[in-house]
Amino acid sequence: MILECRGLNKTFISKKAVIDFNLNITEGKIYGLLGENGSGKTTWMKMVAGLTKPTSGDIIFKGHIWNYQDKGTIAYMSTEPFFYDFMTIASVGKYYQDFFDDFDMQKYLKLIDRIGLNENMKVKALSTGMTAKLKVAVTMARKATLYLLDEPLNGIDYKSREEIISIILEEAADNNSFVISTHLIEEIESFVDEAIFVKNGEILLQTDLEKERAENGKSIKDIYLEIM
Amino acid sequence: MGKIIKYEWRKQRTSRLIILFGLLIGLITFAINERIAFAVSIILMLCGLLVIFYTGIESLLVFNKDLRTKQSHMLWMLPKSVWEILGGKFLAAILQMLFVFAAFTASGFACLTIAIAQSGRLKLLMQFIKNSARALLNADVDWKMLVQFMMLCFLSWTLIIMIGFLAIIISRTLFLNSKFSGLFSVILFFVINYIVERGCFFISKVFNVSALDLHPFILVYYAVVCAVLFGISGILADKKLSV
Repeated sequence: MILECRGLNKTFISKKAVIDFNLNITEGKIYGLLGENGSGKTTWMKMVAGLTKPTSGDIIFKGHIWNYQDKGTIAYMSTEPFFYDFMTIASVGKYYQDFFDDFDMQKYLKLIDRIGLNENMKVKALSTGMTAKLKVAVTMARKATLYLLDEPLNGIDYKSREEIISIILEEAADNNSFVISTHLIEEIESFVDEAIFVKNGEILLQTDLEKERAENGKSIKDIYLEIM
Repeated sequence: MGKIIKYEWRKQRTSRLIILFGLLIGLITFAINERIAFAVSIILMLCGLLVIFYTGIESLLVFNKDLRTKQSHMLWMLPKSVWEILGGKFLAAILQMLFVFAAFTASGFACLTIAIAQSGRLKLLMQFIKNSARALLNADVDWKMLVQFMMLCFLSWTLIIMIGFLAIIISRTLFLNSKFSGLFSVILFFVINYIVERGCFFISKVFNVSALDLHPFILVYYAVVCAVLFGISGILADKKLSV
């Protein structure tokens, strides 16, 4: 098991963003984190990425209580743009190379070329779609154990989505895990192993999609519409 | 930490370029217009003090902007401890201040060189410096006092940074990205500053030392307060701050 969350809670002043999350993430699987806006998906990801502090509960990563050094093997892609304004696409790669041992510069350069970006482009001049592609490229150029992708397909045109999904699938391996949060349920159905449905800060269901299809004849969309 | 400092240093590059450009304009004006050269040298000195103060404030503005715009993810997603992150930010702010100080000092020497080249002005300039030093210190130069004065300036400047860090961290912890967060951090900045100064006044009274004196005791007090504020900021950022 890569990640285990035990009774995880996060409260912002009076709003409970995450309520008693009990969740297991195992190697070799791709998880879809599904729910409406404000359901707690991003807050949970940020807690695992170390950007948000839990109010209570435990995050256990590779068998030990999470600590800041684990950020070296957890690749988090935020939904918000976060690169410094002064950066170029090349310097974003340099930044990651400077700080993450698992970052592969050659792979990054290949990825940005593949998704149609140029390393000399300035970050602040990029369109929303280009920024989204850059976030995916720089995150996927890491050889992480756990990838947390928050809305990776947001703002990306239909054609490029296929490319992004291909990149994710190429990286998926037996020794890593992906958690992908998205609103585009049907787009991820074909490659997600398990779905985690979240509503109002609570996990409603964590289920194996293959099993659901085989035993109950339900698609991810059917389950979503049924329980949300 | 060196790499953190490298990227933090890069964030204030525009300010450095503006300062250097302003200094260049000042020096050129000093060199080509003899009639206003004296006024220009005074303006440069005053600007130096203001700009050094501003560089500290700017590092706080950058920190606040990072947290507001989510660019803070760039730092907080790194596998670095909060002490390295805050320490890197603080050291980058010191480097920026030293850079500005060095730039203005170099400009001062450049002005002197120009004045020497334009004979006759040197005497006037030296007289001004001497008079200013006498007016300020009301005595001949006392090196011990001068060092203490420099240390007090540095600690006061450090105190501003530390209070600012703490005010921003508390504010962002409580209000996240609320529009009141910026205003609250400014209010908090003045409140913490007031408490620190009251503390200085109180302890000075207890130990019978004037808070206005350049007494080593005051320097120790400010150094301890800076360390305590940094410690509180680090613990709060580690345990509570969500970016």
